[in-house]
Amino acid sequence: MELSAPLIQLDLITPQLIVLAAAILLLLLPLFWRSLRREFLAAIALAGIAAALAATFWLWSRPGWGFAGMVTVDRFALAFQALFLLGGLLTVLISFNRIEEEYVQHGDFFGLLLLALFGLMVMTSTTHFLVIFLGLEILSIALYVLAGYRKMRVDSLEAALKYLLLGAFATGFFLYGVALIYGATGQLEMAHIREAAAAGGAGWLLPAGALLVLIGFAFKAALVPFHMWTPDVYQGAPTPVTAFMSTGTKAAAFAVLARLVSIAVPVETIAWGPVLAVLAVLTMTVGNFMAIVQSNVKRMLAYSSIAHAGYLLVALAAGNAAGRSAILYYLLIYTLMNIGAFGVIAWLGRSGREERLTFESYRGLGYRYPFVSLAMAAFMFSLAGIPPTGGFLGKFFLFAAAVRAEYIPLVVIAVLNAVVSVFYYMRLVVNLYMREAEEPAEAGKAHPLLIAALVIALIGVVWLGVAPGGVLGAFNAAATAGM
Amino acid sequence: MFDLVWLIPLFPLLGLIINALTGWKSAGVRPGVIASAAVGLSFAAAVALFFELLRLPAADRLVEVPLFKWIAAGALSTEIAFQIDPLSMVMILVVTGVSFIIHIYAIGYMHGDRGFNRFFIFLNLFVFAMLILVTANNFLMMFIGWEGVGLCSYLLIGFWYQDDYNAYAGRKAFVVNRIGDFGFLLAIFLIYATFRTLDFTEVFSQAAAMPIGAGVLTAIALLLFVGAAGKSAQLPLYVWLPDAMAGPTPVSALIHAATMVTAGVYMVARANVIYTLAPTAAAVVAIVGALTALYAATIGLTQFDIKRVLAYSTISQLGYMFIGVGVGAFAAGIFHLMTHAFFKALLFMAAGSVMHAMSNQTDMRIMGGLRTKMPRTFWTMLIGTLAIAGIPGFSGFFSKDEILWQAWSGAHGAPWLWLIGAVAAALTTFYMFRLIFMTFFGTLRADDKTAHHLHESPGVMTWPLIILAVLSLIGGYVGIPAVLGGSNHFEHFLAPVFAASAELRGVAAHGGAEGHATGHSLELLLMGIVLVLVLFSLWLAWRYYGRKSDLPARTAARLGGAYRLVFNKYYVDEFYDAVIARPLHRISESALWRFIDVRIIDGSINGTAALIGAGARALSALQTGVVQNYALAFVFGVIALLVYLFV
Repeated sequence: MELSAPLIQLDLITPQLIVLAAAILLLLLPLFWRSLRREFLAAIALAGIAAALAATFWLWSRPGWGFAGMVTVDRFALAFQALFLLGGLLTVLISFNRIEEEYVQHGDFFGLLLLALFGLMVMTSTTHFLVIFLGLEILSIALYVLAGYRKMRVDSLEAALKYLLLGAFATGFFLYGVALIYGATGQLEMAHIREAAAAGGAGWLLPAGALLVLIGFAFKAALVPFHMWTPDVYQGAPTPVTAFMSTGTKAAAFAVLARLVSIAVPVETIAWGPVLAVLAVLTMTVGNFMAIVQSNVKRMLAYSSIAHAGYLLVALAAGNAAGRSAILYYLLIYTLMNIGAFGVIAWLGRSGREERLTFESYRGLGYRYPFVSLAMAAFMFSLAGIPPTGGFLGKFFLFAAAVRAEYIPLVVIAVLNAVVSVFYYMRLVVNLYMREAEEPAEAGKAHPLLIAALVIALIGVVWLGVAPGGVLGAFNAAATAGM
Repeated sequence: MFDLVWLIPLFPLLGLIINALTGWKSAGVRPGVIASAAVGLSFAAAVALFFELLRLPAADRLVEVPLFKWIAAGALSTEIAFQIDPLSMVMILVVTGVSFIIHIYAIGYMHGDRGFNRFFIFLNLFVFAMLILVTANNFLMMFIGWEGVGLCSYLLIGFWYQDDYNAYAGRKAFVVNRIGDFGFLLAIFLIYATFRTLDFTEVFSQAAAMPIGAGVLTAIALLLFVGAAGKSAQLPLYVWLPDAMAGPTPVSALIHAATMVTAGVYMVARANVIYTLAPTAAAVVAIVGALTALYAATIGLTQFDIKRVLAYSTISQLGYMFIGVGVGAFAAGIFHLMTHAFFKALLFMAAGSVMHAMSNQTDMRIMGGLRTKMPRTFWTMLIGTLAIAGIPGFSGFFSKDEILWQAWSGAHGAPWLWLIGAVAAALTTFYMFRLIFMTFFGTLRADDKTAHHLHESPGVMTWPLIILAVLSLIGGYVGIPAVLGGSNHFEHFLAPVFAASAELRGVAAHGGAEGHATGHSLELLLMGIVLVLVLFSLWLAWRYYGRKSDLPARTAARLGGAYRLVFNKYYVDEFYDAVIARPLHRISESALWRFIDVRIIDGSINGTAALIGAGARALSALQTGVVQNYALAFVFGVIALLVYLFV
């Protein structure tokens, strides 16, 4: 047997390396200088993210494979990387609010955030299950800590503990699935698994393993019935962390799932369509119905994020390139509007000891804080899928892909669900503009960085709703890469 | 340079965003200044673009600037793209230029109003939408602008919404416009079904290959004209415009005289190829235009509200423009559109200045003798009146004469069309000088309180009047007809846009020299006849209203029923109310609302909502907060999936 040196192409993982370097720097610096300003630490994080983003764009025209098949940097991976980095950028910006001021004193908040980001990027720029697992764990451990970051608060600790327990539970299923797949085919790389299965003799082990892998990521993506942790964790975690979890983690889960169903274990082995369709219906319906009865805005957004995972599943069930492209487009929109909405929640802060999280606390803000309210209204309209916002076009593309794959009843259910969702999104807008508060909330002056996040998100949401052309073209290229 | 054309609509958009976000807390005139500056920048950009366009050879003056792909669904693909050619250039210049002047005027006129900021937000939004309308390179984008200006018109007519009548007038304008918009929308559908594209260049080049009189082209042309008739207040959809005078006067000047209401004329000129190929539809346009011109002028003779006289005058002048584009003289129609924008904006703003002085009263019966009290307003308004009456040397003379001559001699012209136009011109002169004499001559008939407050308007209002007066005076000299020794630069500038139509009509662009020679003497003769008619009307107006006399009352009494018919605007509003509005209302209330809506629709919706609410509460019982339960649900999910896979 001939041994060859492993192929190491560091240039392929430049973005990851940059993010990792920034994360380490952020963790180490405060050890030497105790009184660094938050703005300075954020600047390091932002610079790292921006550099990584630039590297991602640089790689766009030179995709490749390396590390003996452990790293796959195709356009699909790069599109997701860009998405995560955008999410990370916005998350850093919205942590400049009056609540996080008290907690986020140290470099480790941003350091952990960048580590989570690093995990996301590792997880998606590979088709090898072991590397996926590595990325997943890097991400998860960073998130467990971040969820419990407000360590003086019970709900924050509860969130961290629940996330940890159930996360470990889910990871167990994922690993078990990978083990079964390995047992069936002797392979861990997706294309190899597919070849081995095609060669025959995989038996029932392979589909069973694939299903367990699906379940592992169904947990991360918060699909019903693996979603129960979501509201508790989203509510308890610091708001920027919730924003990051609800967008980045979900996006990464969908990236892996898309590869799972279209590369590793294609429809010849498992009829994914019905499985994903049933999950989609459950996820959308439960998410939307539960969101209706919430009185806490953060919890409402948690259920809303479950519902949105359901919409994404509709396109995943379609199983075509249009569906993958639509998923990317929707995740981009979703990242912008959801982090934007959480940014507004973070901005509103708290009165006394209580965070302002009820619908009532938004009463009468429309005329007191016109810009922030306008942004929040736009995010809500977009989440509800009303033109001319990106949320409308994103939903349109998702459902169009499913229509093309002839999942008509599924799309009908999805559209009806979208109608239901209008209720709870508009409830917030009604509170903003049409209800008078006895004592309107006093939110104080917003930090310029937080305002910057809202501006970026707002422009993005409108832009993607009016002019989808360029971005969609890039995503179409990404959706066919390596599939 | 052309790539920057998007800047022109962008400036008003920025202006309105700035005012929407910051203006609401600023007292004072800042929102007005920002809005005016935004439109001023647009105008400057438009002028720069104009000179850039002139640098191109005449045949190449069609620049399409795509901004981005907007909708791509199946075979339908629509871009947001601008089309710059001489026609849209004229419209851009008129819209931005006149808007700029009116914006400045409005700073003075609206000063101290509670909705000052809101007013300028709407006004900027209007300019934005109007610019989208005239720069679009496809029907869909044009429709966006079309609806946008309709929305702004509604918002601004009902600007003082606390007053019931204003809100009613806004609603009326909106509803009547919807009828027209429906026609426009059907036209767009039909265009797409026929040509599989909505792009102007594509549609017109494909249409040019079709035979003259093709049924589908006639249908498209007629449906487009339904839209045009709604927006440009032609018979039978004109009824909203007189009521639209409920809005603030700058709005009447900008939207309901100079720009928005001319959108229909622009649309017909833009679709000139289609109208050339659909002679029946073009004839309908010309006839409707002629009838409207005459009809509205007769109503104008009897009204006492200064703004209403001007409103009927606008309807009548729009009729002239449709005569022009209907008989195939597209350039003449657009020429009148431009001069009309100058003098009608001027007349409205002068009327606004009068109202300003008269404590917002509009009844001419209590005015009089204002000539000495407000000389600037008087002189500028007189110039506007001379221009609209078509007194030689003023801008209206050139454009109106051009249309009348084309009505006689144009591709679809006929002597009787000319005759209607000539009579309407005489009536126009009469009611306009009636307005001047009643308002500015004789003695003031107002009460002491009003008389005490009487004053000339401030400079911020009178300077715009003076600028527009200058434009009304000289605006016609860009289009001096050949018969008067001019070379009609305006028509030559627009010629490339209408070249395809001219070719289809089989008319060589320069025409035979012989035809011109015989034409010239006839043209001069007709011009002379109209001039005599106009001067006679002027004299008659002086006899009736220039001096104290009981002639008007005597004539009214002698005409009896006929006078009352015209004075009450032919009872058209009452007719529509009785035949359309009331029955519709009755059916809507009893059947559609109380039964179908309340019982069936609301019932089922409330039922569904109740069901969903109950389901949601049941579901939320599962969310216990206990982590073991969560894991249990998880396991159930795993089992269910595995069972599905293997059973």
